[in-house]
Amino acid sequence: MLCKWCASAGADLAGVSRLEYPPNILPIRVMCSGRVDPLFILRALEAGADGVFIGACHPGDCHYVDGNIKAKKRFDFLLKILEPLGLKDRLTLEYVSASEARKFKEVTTAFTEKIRQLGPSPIGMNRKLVDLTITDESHKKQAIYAVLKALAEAVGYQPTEPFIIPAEETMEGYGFPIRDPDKCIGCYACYNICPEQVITLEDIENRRVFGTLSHACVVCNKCQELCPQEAIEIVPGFELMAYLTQTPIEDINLELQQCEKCHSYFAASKHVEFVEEKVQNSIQDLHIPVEQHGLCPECRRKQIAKKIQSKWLEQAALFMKGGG
Amino acid sequence: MSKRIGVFVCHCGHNIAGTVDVNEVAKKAGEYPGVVHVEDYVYVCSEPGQKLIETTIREKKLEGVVVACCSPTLHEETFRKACERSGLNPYQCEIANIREKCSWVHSDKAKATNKAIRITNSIIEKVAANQSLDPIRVGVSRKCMVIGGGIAGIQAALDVADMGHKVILVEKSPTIGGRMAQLSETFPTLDCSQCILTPKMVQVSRHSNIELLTYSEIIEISGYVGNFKVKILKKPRYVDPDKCTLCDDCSIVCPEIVPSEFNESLSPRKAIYIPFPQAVPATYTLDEDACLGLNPLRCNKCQEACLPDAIDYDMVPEIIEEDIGAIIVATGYDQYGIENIAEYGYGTNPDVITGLEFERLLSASGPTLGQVLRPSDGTIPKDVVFIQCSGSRDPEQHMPYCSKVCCMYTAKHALLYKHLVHNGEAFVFYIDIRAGGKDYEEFINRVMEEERILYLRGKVAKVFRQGEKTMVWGVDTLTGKKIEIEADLVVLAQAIVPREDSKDLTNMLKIATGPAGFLKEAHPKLRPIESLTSGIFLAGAIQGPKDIPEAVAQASGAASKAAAILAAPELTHDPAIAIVDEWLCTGCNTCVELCPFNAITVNESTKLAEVNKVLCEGCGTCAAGCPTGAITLINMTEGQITKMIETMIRG
Repeated sequence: MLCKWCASAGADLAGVSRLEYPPNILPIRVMCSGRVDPLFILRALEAGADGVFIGACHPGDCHYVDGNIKAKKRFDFLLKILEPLGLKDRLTLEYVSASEARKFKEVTTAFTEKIRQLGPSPIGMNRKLVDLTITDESHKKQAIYAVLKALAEAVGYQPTEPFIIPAEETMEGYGFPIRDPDKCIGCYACYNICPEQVITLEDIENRRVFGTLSHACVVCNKCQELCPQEAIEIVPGFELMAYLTQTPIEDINLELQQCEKCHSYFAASKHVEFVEEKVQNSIQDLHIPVEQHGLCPECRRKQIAKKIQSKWLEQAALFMKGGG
Repeated sequence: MSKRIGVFVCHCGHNIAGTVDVNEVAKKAGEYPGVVHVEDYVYVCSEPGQKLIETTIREKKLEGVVVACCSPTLHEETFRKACERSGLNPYQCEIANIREKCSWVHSDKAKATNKAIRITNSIIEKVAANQSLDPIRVGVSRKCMVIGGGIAGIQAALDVADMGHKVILVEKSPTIGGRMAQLSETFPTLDCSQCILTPKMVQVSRHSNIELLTYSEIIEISGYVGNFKVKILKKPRYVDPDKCTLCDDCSIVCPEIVPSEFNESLSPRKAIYIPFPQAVPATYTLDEDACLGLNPLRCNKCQEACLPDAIDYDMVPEIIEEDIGAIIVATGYDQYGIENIAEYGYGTNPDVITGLEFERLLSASGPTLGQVLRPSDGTIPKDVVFIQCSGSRDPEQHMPYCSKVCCMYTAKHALLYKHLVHNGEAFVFYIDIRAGGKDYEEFINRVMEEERILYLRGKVAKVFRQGEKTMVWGVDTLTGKKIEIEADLVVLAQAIVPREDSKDLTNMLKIATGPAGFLKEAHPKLRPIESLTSGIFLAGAIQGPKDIPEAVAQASGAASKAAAILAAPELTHDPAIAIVDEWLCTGCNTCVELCPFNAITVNESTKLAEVNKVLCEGCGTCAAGCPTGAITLINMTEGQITKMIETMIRG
């Protein structure tokens, strides 16, 4: 994939200068190397490309300020991911200016030679390609996930331990929410708001566990904005094992409150405390007696219903008396 | 239903047909789904070749055209125009480059043919999903704003005005003239700086197309090329320029004394003052900050002294709103603060001065009326040391770059000093001499050879006060000897830095700056006058250190660029830009941060990203970074590119 302004123009100059290079270099011209989506590189590998060559402007020469720098960051991020899959060496990013026809010839020839030594791609040309059509139900990150998963399967990569890419080496748009255990009260507002169902919530016995499906998070920040405790921060980062196996990265484990009546677990204790405190404050102002909070919503509803019923019966009896 | 696509394969004589089997390429393209017409022709770009495309579009009702030929840089426009002539939207035509990227670089015919087929078919895939587009059209506000009234701003304003367009020249200080007005003589001709500048200043004030706003600041800028909205704060000067007769009576009675900015604090001025006699506009200004007070208690001395009744204490700040088509930024430079340099005494020694201060000492209108007198005791300095690259070319401690003008002005300083003080000695410490301008090298040679000025190659390690003298310790790297000079005056050629107060402006303009804070040009070689935001141009030292002729040349360039916008009946913009899918957008701000042109914003109420159609340049870096694929590039979508990739690889 070649930037229109530099590498593609450099390749054109190689043509004008009749500098021969291997014919298995298949050019696709883009406006800027910054347009190169990791999806494109992954798709090329999935389709069976033996290697992927990105031609970018030299640092400082980008027609669009720093598209090439952004491209390099994304490229390096992808290299990291593809390293355990054994596909890293099949990618290269070269800086070729519009005047460097000879360099274009040299780097493409050297790259072809390197790929030849690596042998044909282990993915092969006959795989059925993952459907990338974006429907109302899907988006790009899912497409990237599907292609990356297909690649991992094709090369037989099975993650056995976490493979973490640190925040500073992660490209934009990759990250996930992390909750502060001290601040989180387990109210699951984040769980409810998340449009991608990235946040997992599981009540096991008397504990409530929150996790994040990092592969699906689109860093929309909605959970961070909503959290009443300001406990959530979206942090950039990537972990390949959790990503590929779709396992939640768990970060919160809270105690659950048991109902005094039916003994079921109904909310996180910290959440109940939080509500109690809030309600107490407002109720004190109104001089209304405090409700019982040790009950689950179901039992509390029943209790209130019972109270209302008995009051109503009392009044009905009075009315009957008076009327009769 | 798929699009009806026509494919035209060019032989380009033997250029393509010599290595690529064009019949085979055409045959394979013909088998491709959606392709309803294929044809190979000897020179498609020729008149008959173009006619062929035009008639085929009409006869076969083509909805897309692929021309397999040379690089799109050569004939994309030719063929798109041909399509337009027969009523097909030009964006439905694409080029498959099978010459520069195929036939010219390969010799194996079978392999080259195979590659040409892949290239052609991948472009067929692209065209199949191309949208018809119309150029984006926007109107133009026919007024140019020049920010900064130094020589670059003056030149730019005059040039735009001479081309018949309205110009607003905004200057922060009470007068235009800038740094050039402060200079004594100019290298290499030794013209008196003010003598060549002031006629231009007067021209500005008299020009019917120029509206001059001095003592004014930009407070808000919004909009885009052709349609900027600017708010300018006009500070009150408390003197009516029409009534002021420049009699100086007010200044004489004014009791408040502050350092004169124009004289680099080497002389005092009053709170009511005129920066220099030739100031434009020719009027006094009352410096609100220095004045004893306007309200509620006034000293009132100046008003009492003013016979024409020009002083009005009740003037208020005025906010002027303007619609502007193009902006030229010419805010100029500052000197790197002498207090940053430890080895030269942090500016505590009064006899260590900057180049600009020395200019004022040399100037006939300066604080010493053109006599070289040292600041500490007003005596004539007998030994003067000039130190070049003070703060420049020092990546470890100060500025990494060369300030470009210091070699020349130091030579000028040394020469002018020798002309004024015949028995004086001048020493110049330099790293190397950079005299890369017309007649510059000759000037340096004249200074070195005819004026008996001692040039010492090396850096000065330490400058310190010893009694009445200032000691300069350095090394002559040519002889390897340590040098110690008992100097009366030391002149530092301070590095040139962007004006401190231009930072707010650059933030408002949303234009990029380099590491040192100089404004960044759109391309270092090919677009050195344009900023990265279209419609905003750069002139003078704010883009990087430069001398007067360079600043003037750049200003004229900026003026013609700006005039081209003002003269256009409407602006057209490439419609192949980024577009947002509202269903997929989460308003996460990733694209906003990625966009190098500030073309994307997230709408406050809808929480969706919006692309400014005029600012977007269509680079697509937003699309590559968008997590959900909500933002994409028209006619270069993820779907199109992945399809092209698949076709390339699998044939």
